[in-house]
Amino acid sequence: MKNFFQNRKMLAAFGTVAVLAALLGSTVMLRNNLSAPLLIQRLGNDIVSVGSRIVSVPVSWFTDGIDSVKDLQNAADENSHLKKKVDELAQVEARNAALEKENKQLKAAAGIKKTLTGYTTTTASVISRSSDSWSEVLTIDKGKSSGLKKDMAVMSGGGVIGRILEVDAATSKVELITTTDSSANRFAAQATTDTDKVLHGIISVQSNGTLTFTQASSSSKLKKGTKVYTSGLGGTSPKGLLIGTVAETTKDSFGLSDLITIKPAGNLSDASVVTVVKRSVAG
Amino acid sequence: MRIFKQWVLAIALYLALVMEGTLSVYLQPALTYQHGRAGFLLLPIAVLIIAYEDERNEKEIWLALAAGVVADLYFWGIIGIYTFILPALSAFGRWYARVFPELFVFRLLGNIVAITVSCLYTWLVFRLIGWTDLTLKAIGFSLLYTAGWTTGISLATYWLWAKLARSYPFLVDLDNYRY
Repeated sequence: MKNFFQNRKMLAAFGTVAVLAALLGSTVMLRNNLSAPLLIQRLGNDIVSVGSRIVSVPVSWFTDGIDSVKDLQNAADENSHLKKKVDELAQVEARNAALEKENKQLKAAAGIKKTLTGYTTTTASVISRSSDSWSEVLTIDKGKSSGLKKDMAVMSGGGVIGRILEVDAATSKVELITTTDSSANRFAAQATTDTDKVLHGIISVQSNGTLTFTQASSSSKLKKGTKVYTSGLGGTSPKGLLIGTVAETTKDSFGLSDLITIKPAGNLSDASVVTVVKRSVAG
Repeated sequence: MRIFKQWVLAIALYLALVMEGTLSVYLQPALTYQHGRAGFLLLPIAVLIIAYEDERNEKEIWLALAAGVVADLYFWGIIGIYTFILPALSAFGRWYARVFPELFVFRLLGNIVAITVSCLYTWLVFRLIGWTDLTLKAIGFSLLYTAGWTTGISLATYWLWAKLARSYPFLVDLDNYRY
């Protein structure tokens, strides 16, 4: 023991590990518990995000140019597909308008002002992403000044991709739905069976990043292709946002309960523009 | 202008930090494979190359520490990943440059080994704080893929960082040594 205290290198190494562990522990605790980051952190984040915004403009021009060339190659097939869809669109729009009007009248008659399905959206660009192999954090160019708050749902490519983790003045961090972080908030979800029974559960993630629908409230089976939506329960996301479709149903490693694998609807690997969803009803 | 020259390396590292995050977004399809993703570690590679090329400048460890704190808060919102990795890489680079021959092949090997160890440290921290539950066996391919990207980034950026480190060493006024 005496030798240990006389060895300066050993003492320095021990001190470094102790300081590092203390810093890690305290900042992880702050990150999980604080509703807004500390002032010094917000300041640092905003300084770096200024550079990110400037750099991301020419980089996105370049990548958009490459994407445009790819899109041109698929233009003919896409055009014929879209023409068919446009023919159906007028009918869908008319029906949608009629249903919306009827819905408003029924809500007024029942005295309901706001429901779990009501929300507004804000579009944002992704300016940065964590560069390591295992964390799933994006930085977007909208923050507190745009009315964003912690835990709001984030969508891209037609489905939910995650939720707001941290809000700074002009930027926010988004934690992807595929994160394996054990302390991350999970989405409450629901799906409807063939027999019109609504199953409630939560979206979990397996260690390989696969999404699963767990803690389902009923033993009714969900068929492949069944759509899974947010249920609006849990207080932060509205009802009816598409999360994904059922890919397969297997048994968990203990063979006791169903493991329902979800194919995500959102664009998780190449999200450059996202939509932040603000729920109308307070949580 | 004299003061600006002493801070050129710090500004360049700030740009490397910004580029690391931005390019990680746009290169995501290329970085991702079926069950994982490679790391795009522009900033750690920059710190390593600077340390190889300016191995006598002890002030660079403080630059690496500052860059580490800013990067940690920006990317993850916690302190302890780059805050440890970047100064450690700076110290390793300076030792490596003194011990091994000044050949590009050796420097490239040094980069691959140091970045792989850095990735292992990151994984260990993430395991400890519960951000990942991947086993060491499961991350093997990801480490290999990251080593491939490290080779590419090193080849693409070595000349630039070497030139910057030699021409604009951090907080050293080269004009004092001329004539």
